[in-house]
Amino acid sequence: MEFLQFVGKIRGVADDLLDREISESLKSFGLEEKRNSLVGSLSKGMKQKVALIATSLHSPEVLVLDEPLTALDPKTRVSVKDWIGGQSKRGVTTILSTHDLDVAQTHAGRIAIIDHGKIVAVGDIESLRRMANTKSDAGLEDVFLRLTEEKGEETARR
Amino acid sequence: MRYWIKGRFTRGAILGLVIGEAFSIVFILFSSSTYLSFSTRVGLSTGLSEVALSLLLALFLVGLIQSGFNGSGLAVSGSDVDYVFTSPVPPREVFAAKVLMNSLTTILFGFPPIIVLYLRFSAYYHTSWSAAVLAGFVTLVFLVIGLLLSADITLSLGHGLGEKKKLWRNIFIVLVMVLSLLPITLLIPGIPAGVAEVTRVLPNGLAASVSVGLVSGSPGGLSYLADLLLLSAWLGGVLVLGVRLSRQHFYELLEVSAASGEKFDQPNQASRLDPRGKSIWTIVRLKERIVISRTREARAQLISAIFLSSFMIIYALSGSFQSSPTSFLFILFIIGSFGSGTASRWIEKERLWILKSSPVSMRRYVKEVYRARVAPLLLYLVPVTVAVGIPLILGELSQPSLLLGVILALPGALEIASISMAGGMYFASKYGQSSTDDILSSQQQELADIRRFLFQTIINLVMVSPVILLVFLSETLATILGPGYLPILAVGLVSISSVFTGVSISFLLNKAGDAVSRREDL
Repeated sequence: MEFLQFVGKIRGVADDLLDREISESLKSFGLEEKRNSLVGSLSKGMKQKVALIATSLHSPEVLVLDEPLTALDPKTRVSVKDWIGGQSKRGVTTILSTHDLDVAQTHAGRIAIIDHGKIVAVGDIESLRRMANTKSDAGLEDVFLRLTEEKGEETARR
Repeated sequence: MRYWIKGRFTRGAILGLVIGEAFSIVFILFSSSTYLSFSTRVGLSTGLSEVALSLLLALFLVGLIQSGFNGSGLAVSGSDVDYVFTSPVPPREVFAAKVLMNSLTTILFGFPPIIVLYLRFSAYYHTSWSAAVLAGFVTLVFLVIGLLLSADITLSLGHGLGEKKKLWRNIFIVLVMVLSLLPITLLIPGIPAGVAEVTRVLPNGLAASVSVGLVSGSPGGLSYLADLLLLSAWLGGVLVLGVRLSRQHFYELLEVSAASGEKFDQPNQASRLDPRGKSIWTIVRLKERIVISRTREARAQLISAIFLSSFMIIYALSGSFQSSPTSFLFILFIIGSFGSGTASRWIEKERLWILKSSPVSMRRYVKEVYRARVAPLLLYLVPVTVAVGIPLILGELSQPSLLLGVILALPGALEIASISMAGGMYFASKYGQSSTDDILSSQQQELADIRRFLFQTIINLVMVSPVILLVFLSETLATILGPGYLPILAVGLVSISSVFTGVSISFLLNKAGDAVSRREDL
């Protein structure tokens, strides 16, 4: 609670709005019982949730999330994925880096595939499937492997 | 040890070593004038004084003890927990290797100036160079004892101790503080003879006795042997204590040294940070105070306050203050540098993105953190300064030239402490560690810490030198202008000193804010 109050305050969230936002966020992440717990005593998953709440308290227009699902237990992964989806629906532009291709396929409007530090393809899932020359219902994993394989062969030929 | 030392002796390390040695030599030359003035006070007009050397060694020990209380007595990183402590290597061997590694740095930095000092005196006493070298080695044993004691103190700070062991730990802390300050009380006239007897058998007393005896060519024989045996017993005692503590507390030690991982005795605490109606900066200061009260910072601040005020009181009672306010300020600078740990630990590392991605000005933020962390210490010292100062001033009313020095030195002590703290914050911001987890960068970080300490001490000394210089020149100015001008001179010089201090602190803290803003790893 203190941590979120501090973050909200330095980000200029109005006092009357801050308490409400914190309470609703804690409730949506199932952290109400932990509102008086010191952050240092929380598990990694809980800390991740708190960090996500902290990023959204001031209603940003853009969110940049770097591997938010790494090392989380399955239950927490589901709630974080739902939260990310919810942010997108609210119109928040979310830039997400992830190795979890299911999340990217389900929630991302545009996907950039990066291989060896370079973007090899950008687009929605349909256009990526066309670029990779895969079936129309191919998963992002297959698309990724096809595109990065081709890129590797092209580099080898040169 | 080879792995931890690997990478230290790069060109940068050698350059740092050379700069460090040059600074050490300068420090030795400056402190020797202080040393000789103490020597005069105990009855020897020139040359080496056992009591004076014992005092100097005690001051060094105080610095190491403060480092121990700040959690810096034994550098343990997250990578040690991940890779080293989970290996079959016994904790006692890890502990020994860590201390030996720190000792290596101390020996590399400490041995040349010590040898220079002893060689100079052995030339004065016409004793052989081998006596000076032997004396140097004895002093080095004392330094290793200090490092071990610092490590033991840090190890004892870990959480997870039972109530009974906490009591022993607290007794240990009090004992260490009393024994470290005891030698310095010898400066007070009329101190009971028993104090000198007790000091004689402390590590600094023993090392001084043997070293001075060897260099001055005094016959010793069995008495040297007895002293060396006792010194070895001290060494063995702190070593055994450290090994016992390390068996249980290395993991907790990580939580002492890495604030982000610190455990709390009470993990559930109602919020004390009600932001309603408060400004951002009030919240920032309140947050710092809450963090300090819940972590080891409160204890580190208390220890720093006790040491600083003890020194002020002892020096005031000893009469050294009046005769040499400049040396008092220099010594206070040394103590203040070691005690600047509280201020320099403000960097929140991985959490700094929260601040840097917010609209707050980092310059202003650093200043508010400084206010929250340093102001309580200075506020504590103000009544001590006043209590010490009033009798001093009244005692010097008949000597206007010395009176001015005392009047300047009293606020000067607070000014030096506050500039040193600001310097600590700047150097932590510019060079402080960004993460405890990277095993490769931790090697370079240790080297960077050595470099940072040297630059910090040099730059801080440069920053506080005008304050010391003003005190140094005050006697001359008072003599030239006469007693009639004393009030105006006092007001003028105190004002100049205060303004200079304010400007210096603002400059250092602005630099700190800019440094943090520019760093991409934080």
